[in-house]
Amino acid sequence: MTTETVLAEIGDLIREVLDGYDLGAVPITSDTSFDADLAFESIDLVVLGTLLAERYGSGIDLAGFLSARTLSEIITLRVGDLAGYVTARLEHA
Amino acid sequence: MAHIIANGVRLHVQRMRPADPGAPPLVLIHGLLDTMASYYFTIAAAVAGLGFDVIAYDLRGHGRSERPRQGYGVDDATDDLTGLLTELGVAGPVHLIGFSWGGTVAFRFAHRFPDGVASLIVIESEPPTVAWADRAIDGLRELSAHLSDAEEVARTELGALVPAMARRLTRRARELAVATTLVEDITDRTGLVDVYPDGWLRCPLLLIVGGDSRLHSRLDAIVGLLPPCDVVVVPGQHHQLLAFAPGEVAAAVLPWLAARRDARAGAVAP
Repeated sequence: MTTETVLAEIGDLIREVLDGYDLGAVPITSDTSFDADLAFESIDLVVLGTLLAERYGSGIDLAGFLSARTLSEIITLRVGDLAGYVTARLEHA
Repeated sequence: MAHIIANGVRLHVQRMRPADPGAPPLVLIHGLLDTMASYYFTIAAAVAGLGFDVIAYDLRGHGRSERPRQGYGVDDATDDLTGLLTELGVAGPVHLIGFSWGGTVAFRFAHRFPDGVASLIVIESEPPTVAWADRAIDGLRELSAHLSDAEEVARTELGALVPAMARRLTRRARELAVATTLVEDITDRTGLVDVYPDGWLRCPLLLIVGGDSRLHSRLDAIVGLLPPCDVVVVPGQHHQLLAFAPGEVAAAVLPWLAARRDARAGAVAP
């Protein structure tokens, strides 16, 4: 699965997490910031982690992925960082 | 997303369950204005990796759980936890980890249900006393006073380090203060104890404290309320240990929990 495909699917999951919140014209790209662009709360990332595991299997461990990062790194996380992680895990699965 | 109705309230729950059906249950309880994310991003995966059946939930009014108007006292919180364990079918004693208010809830749970707790880890927490409640409310008022002033928020300990996190905390404080009776409920005397009798806590206890925190300045008095316990002081840290010192917290928590797990299994701890 290509990073582009994963990116598009993660975009759909993000919209599901935000559940009706109007993103308006905000496109979800690899450069989109969870905090600055999507106003993601930390608990939204937890929910996204659940959806990722449901979609791609339990090998996608967002808790483990985030545990290795500092608070500042989590706050500045971009969608592309997550897509890269998911793609790499799927390749090694 | 998993939701469970516990004690009449819809709670958001995440469970990290190992393959072993006999894995000992362990509940993570977050602090006021916080969510289970504070554990999810830090120690939850490592604790699950030790073989515990990890249950994380958002307290009522927090995160993705329902926000009823009332029921934010310490005994409401322990009733919610009791309901949650019942609904999840968790029988037998649980291991508890609580941060800040979550630790106070864990202390109260262990006090009310001494046979229901296998071990207790509290991070920057003290048992619920009248003096504790007064201090907690002072802290919330202090936060509220800064709500409308971005520069004031930036001058707080947290604001200087992570402005985005401080802004969110102040916004959550405002939302909870407006939409709920949290402030009144926390100072309600129900569940607050002035003098704890000897032997009130029967399970093993680990207390983790920031070396520069306000709680650390009262550590002797707090330890005086407790049976003999293990104490870890993280030097140079303030209250927000999970956010700013997750590695140090993990270094204290994981070996301690591994020893409790092995003791339960009848093995000899290293």
